[in-house]
Amino acid sequence: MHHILIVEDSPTMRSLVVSALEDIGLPVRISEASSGFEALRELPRGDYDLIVTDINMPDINGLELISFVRRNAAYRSIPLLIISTEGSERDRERGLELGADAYLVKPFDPAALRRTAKELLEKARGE
Amino acid sequence: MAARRTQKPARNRATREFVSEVEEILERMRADLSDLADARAGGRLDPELANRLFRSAHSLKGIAGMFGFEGVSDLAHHMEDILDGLRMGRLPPGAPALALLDEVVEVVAGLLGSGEGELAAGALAQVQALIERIVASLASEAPPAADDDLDGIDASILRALTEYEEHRLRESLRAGRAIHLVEASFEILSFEEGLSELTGSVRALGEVLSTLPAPGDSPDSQIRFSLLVATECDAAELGSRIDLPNAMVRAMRASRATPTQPGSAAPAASAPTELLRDASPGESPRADGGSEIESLKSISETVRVDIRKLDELMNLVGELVIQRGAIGSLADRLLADPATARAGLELSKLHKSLERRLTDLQAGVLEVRMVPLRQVFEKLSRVVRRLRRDLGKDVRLDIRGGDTELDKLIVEQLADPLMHVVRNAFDHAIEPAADRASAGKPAEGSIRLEALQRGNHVVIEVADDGRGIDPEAVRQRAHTLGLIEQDAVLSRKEVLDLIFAPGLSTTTEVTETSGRGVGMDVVRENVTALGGIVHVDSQPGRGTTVVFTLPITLAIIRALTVGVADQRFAIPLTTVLETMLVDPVAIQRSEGREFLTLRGEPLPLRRLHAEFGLPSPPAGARVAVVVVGLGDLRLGLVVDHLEGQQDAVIKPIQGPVRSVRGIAGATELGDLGTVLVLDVASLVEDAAKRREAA
Repeated sequence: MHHILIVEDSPTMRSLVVSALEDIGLPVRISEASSGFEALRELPRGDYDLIVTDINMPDINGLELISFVRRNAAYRSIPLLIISTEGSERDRERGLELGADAYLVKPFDPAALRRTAKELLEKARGE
Repeated sequence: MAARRTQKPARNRATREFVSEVEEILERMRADLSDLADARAGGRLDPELANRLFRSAHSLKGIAGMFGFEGVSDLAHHMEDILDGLRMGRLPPGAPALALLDEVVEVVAGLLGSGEGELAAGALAQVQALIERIVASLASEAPPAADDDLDGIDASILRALTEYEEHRLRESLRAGRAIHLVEASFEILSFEEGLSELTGSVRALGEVLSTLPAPGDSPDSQIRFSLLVATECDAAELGSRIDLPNAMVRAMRASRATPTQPGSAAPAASAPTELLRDASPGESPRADGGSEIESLKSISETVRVDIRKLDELMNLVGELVIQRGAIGSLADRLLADPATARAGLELSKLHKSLERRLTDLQAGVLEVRMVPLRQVFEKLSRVVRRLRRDLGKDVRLDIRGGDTELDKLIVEQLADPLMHVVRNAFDHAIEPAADRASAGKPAEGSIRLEALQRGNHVVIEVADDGRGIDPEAVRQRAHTLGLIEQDAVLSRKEVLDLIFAPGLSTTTEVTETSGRGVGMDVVRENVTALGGIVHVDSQPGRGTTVVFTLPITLAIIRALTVGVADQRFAIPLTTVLETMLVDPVAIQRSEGREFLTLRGEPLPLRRLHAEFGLPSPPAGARVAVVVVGLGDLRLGLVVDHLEGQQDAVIKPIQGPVRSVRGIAGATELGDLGTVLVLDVASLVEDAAKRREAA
């Protein structure tokens, strides 16, 4: 069972990410967080295999979340996927510099999301 | 959010959520946009507000794109561009940008309402036009601000700043603020409470640029937050004022006493950022959260209403008032008959309480319709400013009494007549500077516009210090037009009054000689239609004053009903000063005119029988006199008998009766049927003219 955390403040977008990842072809369990703070509280509760996060959010932004995850020994190795809207190229690049593994641009293609997520999950398992 | 295992595709859930989320986003954007407009009007702009709007547009763009709403997504994308410009200080928060954003939000709302992503051709064209305007407005944006050095700020923090946060950091440095790091540790499962307390106290002293989480000393149970803060305080002061036991303050950059501009940034480039910055450097954007709350409140407590809806409401109230009158009459009839007196008494009590409540209702609706004259006055002020610029004529417009309130309908109808009179004063009455100098007048001409309430009327005066009206020129012109005989005996006031005669004032000849011009007959017609009167007074060489006297409201009036022969008339109670029964012997005659001596003063009389061609009462019969007044003018109307007071809703009448002088309209008076309402203004005016002539 792969445990995925989705961090996204838009309920609609969250639903779309959830529904795309449910059909990934691997056994998955999905948790959702609607803000960076919720993600911080959620992280210690589960043994996550993948984090999918937006960047532009209230309270803490996606970059601050990524920075936290990569500086924390317990979460450092969790693969991180950014999904953000086009136009925030600079922020997305910052995310990769901070240690995110991949990014997708909204509006995203569900098949592309599944492909990337599956890759990240399998790579993490393989290591 | 609880972890859950999902089995079913969530596509349907997403579709449902889509519409409600877009609606929510639009609602939030509307509120934020009006806050932004308020803040701009107050001379400051909370960058966080622009950032929140940016985030909303960003979310909208993302989800609309996912659902194939391409028009919405495109619009959101362009809104994002504008808002990004605003939050980054590249674009000044001017009224056009905000108006455009308002408009786009409404178009998006319309597109959402029009259904499954299908754009009607018209809407698509609208979208296209808006996008073009947005692109055009962005083309004029200022270049981005120059780079500053960010030495002394931890690299680990800088790395996690979004573009916007980094921009705020640079702005704060440019403004000379100190940058500190406030650090505190919390239990990971309950950090939000402590963190929000910390954030709240920091925000009272400055701006929180970034909130960076880090593992705590025991990473499993603790989390540490580093707040990047821009403030005027030094580190020690910030530490002592935060006053939270576990918080530590680390100075990263000291504040500079005088803010410096980056050398490479041109003044034009820095102007927008000036606008974005707080009005006073000592004030944090959130220090006066109270006024923000207040402005939010004022938005939610004010409602815009279509004036037609108020008219409908007014008509309904008017009909209720008339029905109340009928109930009152029925109660009186029941009371008069011993067999039904008991029921009559009950009905009479109900009628009384209905009357009280209706009076309140009526007053409430009337009050809602009242608007200050200021809007019209401001419009006139703009026109004068423009004329002064275009014609290069030095004229000052002084405005007083803009707070005076009138029914909205009257204010609207008054705009044109006032405009005519003010323009005439500007164009014709005020002399060229050279003429003024030789007449010993100040070079700057003056027009005074003043409104004041007098009882149930509002008096508006337009006074200029121009050349005044030459009575002889007016006389000549009137004679040429065949309005008066060559040897007609006219008072000064009557001569001046001729400028309101059709055709007289519209000619350039008189305009040039008299200083009065365009369409004063139209002005009088409009004012009379509103139940008002207009007068002119002038001193050659000294100036002219045009005086408008108007009722405060048109809608419902209390009227006195009177009987004349077999007819009934209603006289607006606002014009009635007193009533009396008079023995015919008390009526005096002089030069063919009747008058009454009232408290030592002669009161001219006018018999309504003669006025409307009705049979006179038998000689020697007692008559009733209704003393009416308008402004300083008084007149006694002779009628057969007084009937009583009624509420009346005046309806304009069509057809031949319409042109009968002295009749303002008709009203339904419950069981009395349709009754003609007297136009007291014109009756009083006619009487005054006759007196002047005498």
